[in-house]
Amino acid sequence: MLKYFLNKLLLFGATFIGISLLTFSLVRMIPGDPIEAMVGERGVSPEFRAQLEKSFGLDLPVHQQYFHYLSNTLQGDLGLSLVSQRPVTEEFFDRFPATLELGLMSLFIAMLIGIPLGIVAAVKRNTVFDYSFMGLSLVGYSMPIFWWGLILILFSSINFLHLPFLGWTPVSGRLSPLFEIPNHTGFLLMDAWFSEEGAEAFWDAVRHLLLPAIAMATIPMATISRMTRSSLLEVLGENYVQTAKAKGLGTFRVIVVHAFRNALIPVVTVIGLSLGSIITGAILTETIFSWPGIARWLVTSVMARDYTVVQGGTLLIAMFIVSINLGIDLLYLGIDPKLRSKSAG
Amino acid sequence: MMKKNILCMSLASMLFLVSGSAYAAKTFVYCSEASPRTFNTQLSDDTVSGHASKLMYNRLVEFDRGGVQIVPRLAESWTVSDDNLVYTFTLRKDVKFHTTDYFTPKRNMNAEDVVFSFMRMHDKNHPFHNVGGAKYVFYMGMEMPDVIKSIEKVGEYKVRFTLNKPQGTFLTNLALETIGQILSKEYGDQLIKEKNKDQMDSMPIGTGPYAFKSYKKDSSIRYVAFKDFFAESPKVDQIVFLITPDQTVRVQKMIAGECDMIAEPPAMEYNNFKKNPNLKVIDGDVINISYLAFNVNKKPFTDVKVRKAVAHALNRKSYIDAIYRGRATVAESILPHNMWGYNDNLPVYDYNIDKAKKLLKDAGFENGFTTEVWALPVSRAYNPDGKKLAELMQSDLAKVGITAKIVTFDSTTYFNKTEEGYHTMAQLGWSSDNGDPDNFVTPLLSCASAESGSNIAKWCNKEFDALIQKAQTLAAADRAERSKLYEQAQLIYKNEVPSIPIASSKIYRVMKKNVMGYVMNPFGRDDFEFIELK
Amino acid sequence: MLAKLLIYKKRIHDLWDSGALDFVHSFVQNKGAVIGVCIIAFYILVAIFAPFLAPHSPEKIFTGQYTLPPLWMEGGTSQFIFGTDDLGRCLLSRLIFGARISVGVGFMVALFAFFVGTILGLVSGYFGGWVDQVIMRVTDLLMSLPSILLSIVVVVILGPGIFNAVIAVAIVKIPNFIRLVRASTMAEKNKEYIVASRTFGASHLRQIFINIFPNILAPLVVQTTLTFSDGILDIAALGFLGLGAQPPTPEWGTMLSDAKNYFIAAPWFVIMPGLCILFVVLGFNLLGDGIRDAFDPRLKK
Repeated sequence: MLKYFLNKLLLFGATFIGISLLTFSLVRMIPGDPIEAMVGERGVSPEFRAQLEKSFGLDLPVHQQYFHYLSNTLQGDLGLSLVSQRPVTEEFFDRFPATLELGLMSLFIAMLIGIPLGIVAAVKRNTVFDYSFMGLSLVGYSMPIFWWGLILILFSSINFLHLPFLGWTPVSGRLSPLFEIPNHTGFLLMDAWFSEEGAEAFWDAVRHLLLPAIAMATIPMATISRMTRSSLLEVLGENYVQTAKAKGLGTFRVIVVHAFRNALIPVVTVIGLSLGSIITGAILTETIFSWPGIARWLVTSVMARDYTVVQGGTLLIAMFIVSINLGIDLLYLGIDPKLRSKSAG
Repeated sequence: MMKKNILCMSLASMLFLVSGSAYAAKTFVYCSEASPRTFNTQLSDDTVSGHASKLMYNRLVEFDRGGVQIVPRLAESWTVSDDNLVYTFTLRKDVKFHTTDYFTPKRNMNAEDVVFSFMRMHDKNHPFHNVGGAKYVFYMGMEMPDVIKSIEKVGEYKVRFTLNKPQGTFLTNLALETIGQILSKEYGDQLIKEKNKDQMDSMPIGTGPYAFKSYKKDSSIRYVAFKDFFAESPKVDQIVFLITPDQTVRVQKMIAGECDMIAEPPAMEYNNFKKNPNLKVIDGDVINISYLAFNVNKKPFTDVKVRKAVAHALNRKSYIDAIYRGRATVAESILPHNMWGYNDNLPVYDYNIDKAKKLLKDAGFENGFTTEVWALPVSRAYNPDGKKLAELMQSDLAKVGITAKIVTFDSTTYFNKTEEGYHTMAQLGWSSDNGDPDNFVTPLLSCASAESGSNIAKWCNKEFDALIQKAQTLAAADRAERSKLYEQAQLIYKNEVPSIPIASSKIYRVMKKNVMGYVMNPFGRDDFEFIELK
Repeated sequence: MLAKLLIYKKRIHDLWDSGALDFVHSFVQNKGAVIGVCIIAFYILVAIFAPFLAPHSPEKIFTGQYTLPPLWMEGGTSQFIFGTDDLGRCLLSRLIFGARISVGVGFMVALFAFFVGTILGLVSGYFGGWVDQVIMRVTDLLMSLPSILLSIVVVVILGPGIFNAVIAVAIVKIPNFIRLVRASTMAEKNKEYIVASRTFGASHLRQIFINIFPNILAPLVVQTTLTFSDGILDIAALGFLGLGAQPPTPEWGTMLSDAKNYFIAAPWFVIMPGLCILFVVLGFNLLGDGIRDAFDPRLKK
């Protein structure tokens, strides 16, 4: 057990080194000049350039630059953003809650819609429900999110068809400028709820969150509904369910109490994996909806050649994903005794 | 029951918000294009920082509302010595700095503050000189460190500037927010004591109509009305900059009613906005030019006949329709038509495929040649879509047998490479910084700037250079004389064709019907001092 | 002799067992799969016959006729059935030629990822040891970065362009192949027929490509089909971000990014390229699902 744990931890360390090396070298390969990226288009004098290069350690040989970077990173210092001149870590954690909030909301929506769709499709297998729901989920799975987001804005926010029940979802942003919410956690729903404006601000935040969350939920929703259907089908075919049915229990009871609980395990795994892929989904969603999260920040930083941000931000995101995977691994270790004995042996 | 109530309430509140009447406390929402680099534009010349800091500060002299005339502001009056070397300003006595939760001024603005603000840029030993990176882009760019000999306090409310050499644009330069804004020395002293000098430009204190309230990176900037403002009191309680970098999103928000006004509305939406009954469109004239520069040192563009051929091959009128959606005029000179000194009687290269082909034939390129068109990678008022423009040019050039490949880079690389002359043909443009023709001809076409970079045509003509240098040294008052020199210079430019002027764009602003008092200055910057919501 | 016999036996058995006929039968039974094949066939036909189908050249600019609405809307003309784009080019012709690009890049991404990923996966799974360790660690690293972000960075390094975008997207698809192939290879390599032929001195190359590879093809085919659709989607996404195909190439993602500036003035200009992308991706996903179901013995019952 301890050995397994240590092994995982060692791997975590190795991954960290690997990713830091990867991000460092990728960023060095990007054509362009960090100093130019920093000072903008009007140019800079040679003396000032030399001074800047020195202050960023860019005059050192590459391997020294890397060790600098690594040792600074281990001390929690990822350097200053070239564009904003603020610490990368600070900028990251300013935006991280926005991305997490969006991600969790979209996961919630995906489950809220995906699981019932999957259950109905499984129970009514090979009916028109099954076909249409699964067809729908495959369409969702094939959706180009960047287009879907635009369509949602066009129909819902702009409401260009002037439908009576639409038009109340804002185009972008997290909260209307009317509200000024003190920033405690960065999770706006929470901050808004506990602020002076309370429910009013909370609902405003929800309105803002809804459209991007729906766009981002589309693909996980499709995956979850498909997974629910197939694992439920498998369980429904097993003996104990048949027995329960034979005992005369109602179909609903059989599904909810017996089958669904067991079918949930693979579904939960899918949900756990979705948590790790929040960032991937966020990149296009945040871009379309101008959501002030880390994904959009990274994309704009890549475009603006903000090298330190690309380097540090990518590292932090990768470590977030690796940590989640590690957490899931350890969680399973706690739950599943079979795994435990295997790792001990 | 309780639950139901909450639901009703929240539904009601949702509807309430939807109706848009929620901006009861007069809040003006401006959807801006990016996070400012700084709140002190002495440190950065970008428009975004300019907008974000302008409404908090004043200058000694300023441009009149919406114009380019110099009017007194923090200075009541001034005198200039006969040799144009000594400027003495008398300051207003009733100017207060902002009171905020991080600073409370104990005295009114005086000469100390003026000296403090200028010496910050001028004196390398000033305690704040190195705060914020010590790059005073405009102060350096206008050669102020060489021009200014000394800045002295000569009385509680009197300041004297002594120059090394006369500068025709000196007063204009002081009126620029990228040079002339007045900071509080008292605030500076407080920050030195608190060992927190960086706060000078991130939590600013000024004398302007609106005071800084808060800033959330990439999200919003808030300003509140400054009740003790020395001039006409501000008309709205709060101004919010909603930072919305995506142009499309800004347009969407404007239509959805989430902004009172947006930054840089795109040309192609002009007609849509005009048609919208909830919105108001204000046209503006700015002084800018976009052009296609040749690298005259690179074959085949060393031959003036080839350059002329290209000038005849481009259907510039169609660019105005497609790229600018008619919101521009075809340009015929390096100076925009609305700049003084513009020469009305220049020869015109009309769109004429036959002439172009003949010129190519004369130059020995009967079968055309292969080259590159570099496309401006960023959207600018003078050129909203460089890639699209390049596509049109590519198709035009193909008609006379020139095969052009479209090349583009990220913006910094692009500006860099064009300055170093890696291109054969490249799009670029220029917007007036100070309303003076010198600001166009010197950076864009002088021999010195062919060397230093910004003359990307790399064109150096001795005769032309002599003319513009002569115009430069004349004092501002000799406008007629300078005008003549610039007109002559433009004729040379036009005959040599180092670059092809494309267009001078018009810009416009769109806002909700109830927004009053908006003015746009001729440099394309938004001025919110007189904003009202009716 | 024995080994050879064993292998033949295995091969015949496989053919019988996997049942090519059976596969085709259950595939045709699957309505979704048939629809998928029809969609893909349609796109491929359009791509092949684009020059004959398109009324105009996709790059021809009609001066003065900018963002005309489609035929069925007010102001539409029969010259441009789907209207024109912002530079006055025929939208229908651009959509038709766009099929070439999208189907082409999907194919290239799938091929590239399949080729590199399969070889690395086979090597990794077959040899094990440090080779396996190195390949797997790098795979893990690549998988710990969000794939689109990695693609964006790679494109920025290589410079924007359709070919570089293909490489960037393919690179992030490779790890999926490596993992899949490695797992199947490891499962396969300890089976008796492989062990037997090893004792009779079959070379590594023969073992890998003649003996193992054909037996792990089934999951690979599914993965490749899905990579096809993923590839199309990702290339379009890069195009949308301005990093994919460069103008005047009529790529759907790039067209969308142009179109979004005319969002309100010309909604059809936004809607159509997106629908094209959606349907081609849907087609490949339906096909992939169909193949998977047809292979899956549990569902065949």
